[in-house]
Amino acid sequence: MQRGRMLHRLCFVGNWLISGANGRVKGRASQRRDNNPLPPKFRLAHGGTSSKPPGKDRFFHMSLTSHDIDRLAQLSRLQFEAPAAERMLGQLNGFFEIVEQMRAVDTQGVVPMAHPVDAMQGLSQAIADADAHGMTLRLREDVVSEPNQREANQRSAPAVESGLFLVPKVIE
Amino acid sequence: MNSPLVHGYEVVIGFETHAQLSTQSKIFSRASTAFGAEPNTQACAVDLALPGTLPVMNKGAVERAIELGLALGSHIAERSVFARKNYFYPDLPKGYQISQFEIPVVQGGAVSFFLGDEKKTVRLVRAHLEEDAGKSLHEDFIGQSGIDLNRAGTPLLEIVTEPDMRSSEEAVAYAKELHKIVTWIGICDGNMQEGSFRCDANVSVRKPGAPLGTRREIKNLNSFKFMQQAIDYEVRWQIEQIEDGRAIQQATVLFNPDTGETRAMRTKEDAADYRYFPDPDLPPLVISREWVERVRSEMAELPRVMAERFVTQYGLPEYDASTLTQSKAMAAYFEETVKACGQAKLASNWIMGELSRRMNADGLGIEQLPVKAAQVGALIQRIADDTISNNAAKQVFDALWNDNGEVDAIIEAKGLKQMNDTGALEAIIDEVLAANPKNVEEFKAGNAKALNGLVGPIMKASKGKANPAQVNALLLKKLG
Amino acid sequence: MADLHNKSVAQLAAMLKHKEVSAVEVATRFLARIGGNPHTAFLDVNSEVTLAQARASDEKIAVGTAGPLEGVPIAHKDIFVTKDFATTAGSKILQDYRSPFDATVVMRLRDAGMVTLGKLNCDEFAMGSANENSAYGAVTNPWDTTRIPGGSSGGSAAAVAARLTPAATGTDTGGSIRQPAAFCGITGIKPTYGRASRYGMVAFASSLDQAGPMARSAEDCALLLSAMCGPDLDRDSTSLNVAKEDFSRTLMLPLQGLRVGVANEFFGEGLADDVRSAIDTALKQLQAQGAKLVPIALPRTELSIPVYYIIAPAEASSNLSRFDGVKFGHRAKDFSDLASMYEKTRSEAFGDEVKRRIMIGAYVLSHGYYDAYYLQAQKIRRMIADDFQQAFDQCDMIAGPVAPTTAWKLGDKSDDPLANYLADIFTLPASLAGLPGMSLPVGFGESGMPVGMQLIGNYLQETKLLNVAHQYQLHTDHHLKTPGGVA
Repeated sequence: MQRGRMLHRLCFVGNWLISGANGRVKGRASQRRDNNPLPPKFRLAHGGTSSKPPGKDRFFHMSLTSHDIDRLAQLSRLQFEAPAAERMLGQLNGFFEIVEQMRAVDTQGVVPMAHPVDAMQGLSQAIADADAHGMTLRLREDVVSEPNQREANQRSAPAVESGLFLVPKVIE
Repeated sequence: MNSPLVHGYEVVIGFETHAQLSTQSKIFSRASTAFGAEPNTQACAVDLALPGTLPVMNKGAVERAIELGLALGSHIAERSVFARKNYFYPDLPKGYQISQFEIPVVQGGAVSFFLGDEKKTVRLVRAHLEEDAGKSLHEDFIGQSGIDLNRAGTPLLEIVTEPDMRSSEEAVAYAKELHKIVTWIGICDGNMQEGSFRCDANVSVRKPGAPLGTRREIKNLNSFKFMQQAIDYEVRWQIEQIEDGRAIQQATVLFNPDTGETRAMRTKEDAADYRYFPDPDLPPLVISREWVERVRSEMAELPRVMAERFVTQYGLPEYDASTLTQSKAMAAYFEETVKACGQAKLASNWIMGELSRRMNADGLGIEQLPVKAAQVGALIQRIADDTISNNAAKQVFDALWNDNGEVDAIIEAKGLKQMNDTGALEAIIDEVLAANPKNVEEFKAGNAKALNGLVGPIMKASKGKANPAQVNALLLKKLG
Repeated sequence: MADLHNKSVAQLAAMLKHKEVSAVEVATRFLARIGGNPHTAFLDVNSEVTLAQARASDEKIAVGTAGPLEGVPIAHKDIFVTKDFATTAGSKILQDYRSPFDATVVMRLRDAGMVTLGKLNCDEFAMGSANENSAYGAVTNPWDTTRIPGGSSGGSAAAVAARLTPAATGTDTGGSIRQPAAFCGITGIKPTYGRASRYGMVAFASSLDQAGPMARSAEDCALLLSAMCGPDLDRDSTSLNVAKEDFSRTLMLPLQGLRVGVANEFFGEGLADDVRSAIDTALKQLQAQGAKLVPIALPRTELSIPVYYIIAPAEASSNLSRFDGVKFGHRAKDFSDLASMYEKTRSEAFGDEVKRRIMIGAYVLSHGYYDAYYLQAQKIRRMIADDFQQAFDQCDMIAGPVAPTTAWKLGDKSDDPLANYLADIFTLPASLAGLPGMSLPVGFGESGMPVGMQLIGNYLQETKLLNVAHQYQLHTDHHLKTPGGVA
């Protein structure tokens, strides 16, 4: 069942690969981009469903292992019982198969886009606090204007004593 | 450059210093940074990381970073980026610290200082802006800790050096110089007991010529005394380990002032993976060259520059210049003194000598001295113009220190005026020469030391008021 | 006043202004409809607070200091923090959380005079496309209660469609306003990134999150958007410093000469026939009104899925670290030490989808993987944004479907997270680029479920989008239809 689903899903993705690359609407040949970002081997050779099972020969990627799950859970302060951990592993690996096509794209010389304003070319006149490269950090005057609001701020605190947030002892 | 070896090992030290910036409000929120408030009364919604809160940058923190960069001769980045350093700790409300990773605001630079007579220069890698965490309090709670987030969000500059230092003395001297600089330019109040200036020392040892050894990091050294103790202990400990055949494991250690020992903290397995990425809530910080120049023009003369000026303007040796510029107040005192007497070297000697001795003995800062610069200047003037001898000057200084008063009045009252009247002096000398024919003969026979036996009686006969230089000159003249 | 609940925001504003009805009457009517919480649309309601606000509005109307939307009700997606109502973000970890401050968007709408009816259900931390990820129950679609309303602003869409409120706020990170609006047959708009303040929005993905209005017409959305948007320079460093705008100012411009871009990538094989048909009809309608269809290309459309699902979880994994049981929110009951407190608290109070995205985020930001995943995704993001700019050289706006299908049945995709991700394909690109996008109802598909059309404009072009949508709505009536089960 799981495998069947994966098959279906990859075909779904595969269909998009076709339509994106070759398209169906007439007269679009002139619109087809020469720099198709997907290298030929990642496109399906024919339309429709694929009879090949999702194979490692088409998508080279590093699978996550249960050790990765443990490490990531530890980093995120999450804990999983064994069945949940296994489920998570399967789901993440399925997800990363889709991600692999992204890794293959040639992005040589492309500046990462950290903030949408970085792409708002020609709008730096309309948008203050932006320069030729994108958004810039606004600075505020060094003035204190937050009054003591401890009571309101601590209203939803799980454990408070003498104004301090209580936690299990922090051992250094 | 020679490094003093410890049991045949070279010591390699690098520092990371966290200096709390003297802004009124926090780096990303408008809560106060004032020390000593009741717990969590200066932790606003942003500081507590309440859902929906966002950071807004404090211009004062950026300006202080620029000032530090100028003071250390660093490059100030035109564009720098804030990054999130992700880890979990109760005193870190967001579960990440906003810091700078790949592109810090201040890059390079150096700190120079004297270690004894030797001039040292420690290169900086970088200095970056980041926010401080809160505090954990353990004393009043059993099995629990109390978290106070007042300190969370206080702006810090983290100042990182290359591993250029080769002894604990050098490290402490560096730390003292950096401390001086940040307080001098006014970006940090330097109050180490309140945690305004905290140093982490990265310490490793190696045989000379060998590659760098594994370092251990001594965290949170907030006193110069403990700094030296801690480093010394750590060095000895590392050497012992190596000599016993054990490899040094990279670790973070804490110094216990009561035991004098360093001890590794609980290892945090994921300590290494902070998953840095540019903070999407903060666009890049842009610092124009105009802004830098404006700050530069408004900055008080930097200690390094002032020291250089003391050398060229006053003809002082580098060592003197460096010592006199240990604080703005001391430098001002010096210059005021020189203004009053025009004797730079004498002024330097007096301040570095007598004044400093008394300051240390009585535990006073230079602003608290009972003797004002103008008075010292007047005193030096009287030495320079031969009114009083050095010995007499010390008495005058005593009087100034204990009873205040005016230099000339004290000289008069104590009758300390040097006898400069050569006529009277010659008369005394003639008497003494007549009374000590043996010394005269010995001197004329070639024994120069015989003169000493004549000087004493002359000084006595003049009740100590004779000008020693004049006595010598006249004696030589009379004796041919 | 029998069909007060069918009145639009514009109509209610006028009626209130002319004292044809009082704010208290209006509020009371809607509160009554909300009563049993149909569709599980609401998460918090407090009639005392609402009526107090209504009375204050009536006061203002009486003395002549009324705001532009005085007395008109609104409900807020539970992603916006509010002082007077609980805020859960659809999560157990914020159960009973009370914010000491209001979100800027909430304040702005209150300043315009709107009366808060309550907080609306949503996918947990806005992560989801079906509103099945809420810790407080799934929301049902008023057009067919066996189906999902869409997500993550499912409660907002359902409430508006079921006439429980004339308008609602939503948030859109990857399509969470546009898609539920389409699935529920209403109108919604996600403005240019940075237009609306994010201060007070429980953060999911900081470089993508945007607030926006959801209502039953473009005209209404324009009114609401004008009140919601504007620089928040003091509190949000990503808020755009552009002048406040009246987005209603050119609603009446005719469509003559409008160039509407149609991307073949939006009409591939995965697009359901009934959706395709409705969109085609809508495009013909636009042509009939004077618009010209222009073929364009958005070749990296499918890449937007992995790119988005790298960037958003990465930012989310960090944004959600503050939920640690220390300062606010849920804390586990039994734990042995600090480490277990963290783990138990987060594990028992975060839902599965949230945990999945946190894990993905931690992975792609990990030492050694950052360049290959996160950085790579940000680079392709720029390429996607550049593709749009190339497209906008040839057209004034882009039109296409919002989703490949209409609303699916509850439970159909709840075990298949990936299927949910893939269904976002049309809304993700505009999110990544930060472009404004809106959804308006253009017909019905199989099973009588609404179909929405997406309009994507260039940066700061919300006025144009609303204009086109409004003109379309003057000539069609899909947006006026009421779900069968709704009285």
